[in-house]
Amino acid sequence: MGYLVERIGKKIIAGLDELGRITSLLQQIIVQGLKKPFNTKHFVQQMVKIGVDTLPIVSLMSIFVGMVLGYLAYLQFKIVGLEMYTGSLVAASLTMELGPVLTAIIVSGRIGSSTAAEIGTMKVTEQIDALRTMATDPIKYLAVPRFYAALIMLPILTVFADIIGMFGGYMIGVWKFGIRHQIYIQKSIDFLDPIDIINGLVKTIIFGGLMITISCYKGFTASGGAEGVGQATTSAVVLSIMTVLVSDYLLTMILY
Amino acid sequence: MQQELKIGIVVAAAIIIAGIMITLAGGRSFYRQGYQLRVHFDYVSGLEIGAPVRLAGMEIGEVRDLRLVGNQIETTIWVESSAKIHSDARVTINSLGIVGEKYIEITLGKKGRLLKNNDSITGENPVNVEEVLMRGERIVKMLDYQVKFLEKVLFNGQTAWEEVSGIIHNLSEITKDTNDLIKNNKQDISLSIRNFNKLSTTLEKTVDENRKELQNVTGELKKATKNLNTAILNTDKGLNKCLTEFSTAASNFSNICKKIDEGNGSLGRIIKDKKIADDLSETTNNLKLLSEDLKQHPWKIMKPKEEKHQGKGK
Repeated sequence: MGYLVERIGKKIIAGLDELGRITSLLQQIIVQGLKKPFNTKHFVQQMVKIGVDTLPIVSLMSIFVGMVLGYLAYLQFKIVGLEMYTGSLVAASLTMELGPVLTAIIVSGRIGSSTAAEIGTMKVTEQIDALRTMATDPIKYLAVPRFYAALIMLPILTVFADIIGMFGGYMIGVWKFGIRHQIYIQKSIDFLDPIDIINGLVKTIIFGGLMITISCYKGFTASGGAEGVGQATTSAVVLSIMTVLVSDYLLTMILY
Repeated sequence: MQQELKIGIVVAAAIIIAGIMITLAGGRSFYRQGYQLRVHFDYVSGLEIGAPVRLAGMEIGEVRDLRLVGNQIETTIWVESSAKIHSDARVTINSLGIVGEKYIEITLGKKGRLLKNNDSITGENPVNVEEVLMRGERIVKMLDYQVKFLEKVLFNGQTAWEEVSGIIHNLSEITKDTNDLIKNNKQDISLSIRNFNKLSTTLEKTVDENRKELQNVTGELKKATKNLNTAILNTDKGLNKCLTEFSTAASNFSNICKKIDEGNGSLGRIIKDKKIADDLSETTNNLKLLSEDLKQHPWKIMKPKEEKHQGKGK
């Protein structure tokens, strides 16, 4: 019994310690990011990696999510004779919740894992130490470009996710179920609030910052060779997605 | 450079899409011109900011603000500039269904000046749904009572129902009979109607032809009535006098009768006193005898003294 309590206590302390370290890393990234010079080359590379290269998978995800939403919403609304509101539901749920969160989860899976793996490999092969010996701050060199790239690219990916998802819903609603084109568009627009769209984009900025900070932290703290890198990658993805979902709840409470 | 181009394309596309989405979602006010009106209500029935405003059923704007001013609620609404609202327009709060979304309905006014930006107009208070429901409940209760009463009257006991059905049966028979009657006498009826028609046309014609004469007759009649009127008026005075005299005479007579009744005066005494009456009847008898005697012996008159004494002695 005493052993169990001790273990739980150790876990809690370790968790709090990790939270403190991540917060400290976030603070360091922000401080370093404000300092000149700015590594433009790395920044552009990361933008392409996070934004342009992730766009196809985000589009594919969002069009299917939109289609599923449209399909299910139509079936439910049809029961009460309100099928023309299918577009409203698809548009509202995509812009407020599904667009931002699913984009953040996909980016966490794709970018979080690669970031943790890259930095973790550099850590276990002592390249980070090599950077330090060259008087280069590894945080400024590795984390800051990724951080800014994520902050900028996540909202942009979310905009695509929103519009493509709505198109998916439109395909189902208008082409499959025969809702009139004008009504679908009109109802979608009627229930869209610019504040909701902007709130959704603000959420993704915060998701992006948290996700990339956690991934970098896991990379920087990787140890124990290839296996350690693998572990770091896994826990980076898991923790990123958990953080995205938990912070989504809190942000929704704050923003709406 | 290739990488930067890719990023540029993606970012530009995202900004354009976001711009379009936000603009469309923001509603018409971004690209449509309009003006604001202030509407005063006593009761707004849960109207909310952003609720639609409809002019004659067409959506033309939205509710921008709701606030308390004094003991009224001032509603600020935004409407498109193409919507011309006159000052006599009726502004009401309606809802889509009983518990549905509330919206402001404006009817097209006809007279009155056109309302401009920031003009104020008084709205009509919406129907309180709870009140309507309560009234409905009362009505339903009353209906229920009536139906029960009818049920009692019609179905409680076979007789009432039989009577009703009998009445209906009779009615139907009457209708049938009437129908038959009309059918059988169709020709007569149509003839009657035709005759009536003819009569009325003839009458009309006659009246038309003799209009002048008729007018003359009416005029004469009028005159005669006038004369009669004056005559009556004049006679009225004479009559009055006559009547008063008659009435005095009547009262005098009644006085006399009274006196007679009481036994005053000779006549009264005659009537009232029995002895006198007896005397009188005796006298009458004697007179009768005398006259008979005289008839038989007229010569008695010739010897007055003796005969007289003799007669008296008898």
